Amino acid sequence: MSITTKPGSRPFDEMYDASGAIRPHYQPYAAWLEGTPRQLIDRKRSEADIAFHRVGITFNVYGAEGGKERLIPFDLLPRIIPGEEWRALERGLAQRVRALNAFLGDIYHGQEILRAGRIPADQILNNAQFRAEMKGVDVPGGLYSMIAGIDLVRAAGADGKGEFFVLEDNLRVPSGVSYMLENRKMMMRLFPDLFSRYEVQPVDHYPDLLLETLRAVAPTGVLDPTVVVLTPGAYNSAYFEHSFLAQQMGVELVEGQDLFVQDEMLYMRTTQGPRRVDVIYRRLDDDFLDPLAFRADSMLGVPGLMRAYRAGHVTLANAVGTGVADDKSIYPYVPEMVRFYLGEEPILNNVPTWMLREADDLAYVLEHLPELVVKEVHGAGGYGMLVGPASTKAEIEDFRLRILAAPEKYIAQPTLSLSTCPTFVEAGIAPRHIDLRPFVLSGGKEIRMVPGGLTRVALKEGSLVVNSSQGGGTKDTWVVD
Amino acid sequence: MDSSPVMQYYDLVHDTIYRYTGPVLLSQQVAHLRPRERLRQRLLSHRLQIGPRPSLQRERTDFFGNPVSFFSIDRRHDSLAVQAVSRVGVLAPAWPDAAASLPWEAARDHLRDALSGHAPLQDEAREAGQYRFGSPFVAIGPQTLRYADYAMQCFLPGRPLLEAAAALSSRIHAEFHFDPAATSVATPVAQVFAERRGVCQDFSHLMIACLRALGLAARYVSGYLLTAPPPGQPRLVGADASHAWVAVWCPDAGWVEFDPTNDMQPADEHITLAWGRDYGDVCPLRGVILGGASHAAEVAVTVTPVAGRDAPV
Amino acid sequence: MLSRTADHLYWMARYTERAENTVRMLDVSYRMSLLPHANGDDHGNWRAILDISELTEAYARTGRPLSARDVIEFVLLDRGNLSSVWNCLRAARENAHAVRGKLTGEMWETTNATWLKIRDLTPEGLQDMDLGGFFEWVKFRSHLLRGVTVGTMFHDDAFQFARLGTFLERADNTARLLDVKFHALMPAGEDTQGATDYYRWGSLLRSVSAFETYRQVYRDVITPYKVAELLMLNDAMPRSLHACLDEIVDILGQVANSRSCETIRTAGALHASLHYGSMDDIFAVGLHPSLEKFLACINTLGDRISNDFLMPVAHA
Repeated sequence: MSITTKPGSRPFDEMYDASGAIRPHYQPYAAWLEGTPRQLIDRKRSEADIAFHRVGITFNVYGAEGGKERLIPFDLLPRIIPGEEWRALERGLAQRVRALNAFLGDIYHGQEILRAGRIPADQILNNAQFRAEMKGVDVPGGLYSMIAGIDLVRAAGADGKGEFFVLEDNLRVPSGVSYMLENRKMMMRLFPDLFSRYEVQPVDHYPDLLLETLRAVAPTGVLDPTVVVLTPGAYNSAYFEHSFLAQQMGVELVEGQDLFVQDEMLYMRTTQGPRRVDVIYRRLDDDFLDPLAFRADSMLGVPGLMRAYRAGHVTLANAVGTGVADDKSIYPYVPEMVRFYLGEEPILNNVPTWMLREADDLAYVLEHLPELVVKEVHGAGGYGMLVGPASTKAEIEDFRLRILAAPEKYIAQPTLSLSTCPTFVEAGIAPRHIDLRPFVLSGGKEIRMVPGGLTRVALKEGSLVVNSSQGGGTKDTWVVD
Repeated sequence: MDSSPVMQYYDLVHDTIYRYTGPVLLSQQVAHLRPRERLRQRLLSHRLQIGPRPSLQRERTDFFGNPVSFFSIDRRHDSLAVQAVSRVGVLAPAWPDAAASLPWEAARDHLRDALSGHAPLQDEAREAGQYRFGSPFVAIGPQTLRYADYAMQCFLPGRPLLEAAAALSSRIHAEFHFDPAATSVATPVAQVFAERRGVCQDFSHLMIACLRALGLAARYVSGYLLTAPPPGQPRLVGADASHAWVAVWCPDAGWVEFDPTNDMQPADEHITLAWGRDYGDVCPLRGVILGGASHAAEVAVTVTPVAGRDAPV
Repeated sequence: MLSRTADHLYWMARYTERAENTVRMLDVSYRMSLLPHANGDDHGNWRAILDISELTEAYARTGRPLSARDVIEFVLLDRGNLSSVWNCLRAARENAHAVRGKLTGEMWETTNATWLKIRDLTPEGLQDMDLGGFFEWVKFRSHLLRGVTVGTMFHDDAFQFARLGTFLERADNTARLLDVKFHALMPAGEDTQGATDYYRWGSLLRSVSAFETYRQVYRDVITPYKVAELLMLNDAMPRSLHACLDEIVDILGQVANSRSCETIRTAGALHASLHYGSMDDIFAVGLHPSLEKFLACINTLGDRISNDFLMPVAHA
């Protein structure tokens, strides 16, 4: 695998090729941009800000003072993906998610992949995300992660061609889809003329697809399932998205206190009396779902829910225990899963990963810390990681001690030169690093997704961290034919 | 043959009463009160009596193979009484010759290699692997190296695993003070270790922490002891309540049990209820109630031998 | 609809209405305190304010004197007084926030903006203000929320529960106001039919926006008898007990469920007692006992509504 790791080498740019020429799929946009006065774009930008504030698309930042609500910056310059490229990605994503679901089914039943020695058993058994409670539980369609968000990045190969890599699988409660939808709505509202120059594939049917997916995994025998969205509450950082999706699907947005279990059936309290619930799209972590089964101090969950679930009377989407498959310690084995369960070669590449539990890998990584990205195996959201090239000597030494104290808690990867996309900044337009999170829906026999996904952009010059909690923004993502 | 062991029979009564200071509107409970059947233990009868009468009661097997009962009560009540009455037969096990067991490092390496994925994994090792790592009451990590240090005095290089485990059990028994007032169900192992006192549950957790810190698989066994000793024998500690002890996995001998509270290997006076990674997996009764304000709990256990014509033949 | 959603809407409306009625009451006392002292009992006037809201004990614990400024501060802004206008508007906003997805944009913006304005108001800030103007502001914010609710919200069950909160709270507040003020202005044994202190009774009528209405209905001097009649039995008077019960009975009929029969019966009986009641009968029993009975009944009704619709505790 050839990935640029040399500092100073040019990242792949989505709009310009190595010679500085505009790539064909960006040419109509460039022409439009040329003919549009900058003041107009500036005006549209503040219009967008006002509109987003009014709708209340904000999120709470962890650790921010007083849990302040903040707007995620939206960049007006779209990320454009040629249709052909997308279709290849789509095949790769479907394959990967199929394998991950097969893995989850196996790990909670026969554990064939462990017996075969293809994945070390201690990676599963010594993993807090492995839920022994799920052993032997049959889930509808054998599906665990019905809603998956797969983070992709593009890095420049040696030949200057960009190549996609999977950076991370999000199989628990991936968020961000509301931004994808709102960004598109905003772009169409601000620049209707742009959409006449392109055949941009629509994404706004996502809520319909999601609802179909959720209905497809209802307990057997339920013909007209009642679906709800379960939220931890109004103070959760992603509450906007929870209420947005519930509203778009036309289903109730419930909290734990709205639900109760009786005779292994789940009900919600309504003003017309108890009403059966068949499918929960839950945006609540496993630990909080059921104080009888997990954390006894959880006030957010529903006592007895796990029993109703185990009895097959209600479906949880995503299933309990999916975290064992998207953990960074399991990530290196996903290509192996594709081969083991599907008998296919993986279409999407993993980023080469050193596992610091292995002595050889550890030795190499300790020698090359300034060049590498080191991640905590159980960390998320850009917390608890070291970006070697962007860190001071002191930070690196500090991290070295943390690694030495518990090497098995870390993995390392080359510092990917993430692709860039032109972005509106203070001084005009400049390249900024981006990633892509497509949302993959598995329900019934089919795996479906809307074209594109959420493009996140690191707004700070040179920054590789795109997480919204760390100052990242978003872009509309166009798949064009 | 006269020397062959004889099954001992016992009647067990385990009472739990919760008295609430305010009315409880809804109560949902999970009970591990039905003694588990195993090669050397038979369950002849079992009855779980609950007052007030539950609106729903279900039995199933948990993921460690223990029988577990779930019940819920959706009528207003001020107290909850749960009585488990069981008759069991127990056969004294023939524990393997400790001196002949594998050197402990060999057991450790066997488990490590089996779980590290470099070769196909045998079911027995896969099962043992569940008890090799940290669990909610027995966290394992860099901060637990001191347990390994503590155990090393017993786990001398090359020493047979079972001999070393017996020595560890003796050491804990000798150096820790049995003190029911010192700890509660939520006392962390670190505190028990620092203060050198606790009860059977704490000693078991500590011994498990030591064994896992060394890279071995160890599980928590909950059960009972004979309440009144046979004439002329001392009464064992922990006989009025649930008891707990430890099992360690030895690749050539399987699971072998030790009772650090009494410095002995369980024979036919230890009755097994359930086992898991730690107390949290096999807690006799845990639940969630709506209302109730605060509550006081009373637990009483009696174990009496069944003799003469009452004993099944 | 979800019980919790109904609960939040109901309380959003109740707290807003409570804030409005609290300033109405403060307003009348404030106006009276500006009048030449007929009996020189300014303390009694302010004590009555505390009595209405059952705050006398809580106030005594603060150790403040019974002065106009202290009582007004306590009732308007005190953070520790859970019935203060400040706390009511906070609670209204919190309830709205919890069901933001079910509100129209205007409803949310109204509730939120009201809260943001009063949030940072301190006793010092209050002293710099024109009190009368501030009372007007609170009233108008409440009018505005009620207006945007009626004018923008889909008239489904959610809407009905918000309305239910408004009228239940209003019935309670009007009854309390009448009970306490009547007692303060009408020493026992005096003739309820006789003409009396025009300014004080006038202030009472103004506090429930009924001064002009009184003139229009009775074309007569202000008598305690007629004031009570207007505020209790006149179903065209929007803040009267009868008018509130008209609405409550109508709403309960629309949201009825399988367990609400007894609640509907309770409301219906109370409604009938006003619909077919006469002031002579009421005064024969005594106004105070009648109003106490009414308040107890409203309280029961509130509990029943909670159990039937909003916070069902027991199962199916």
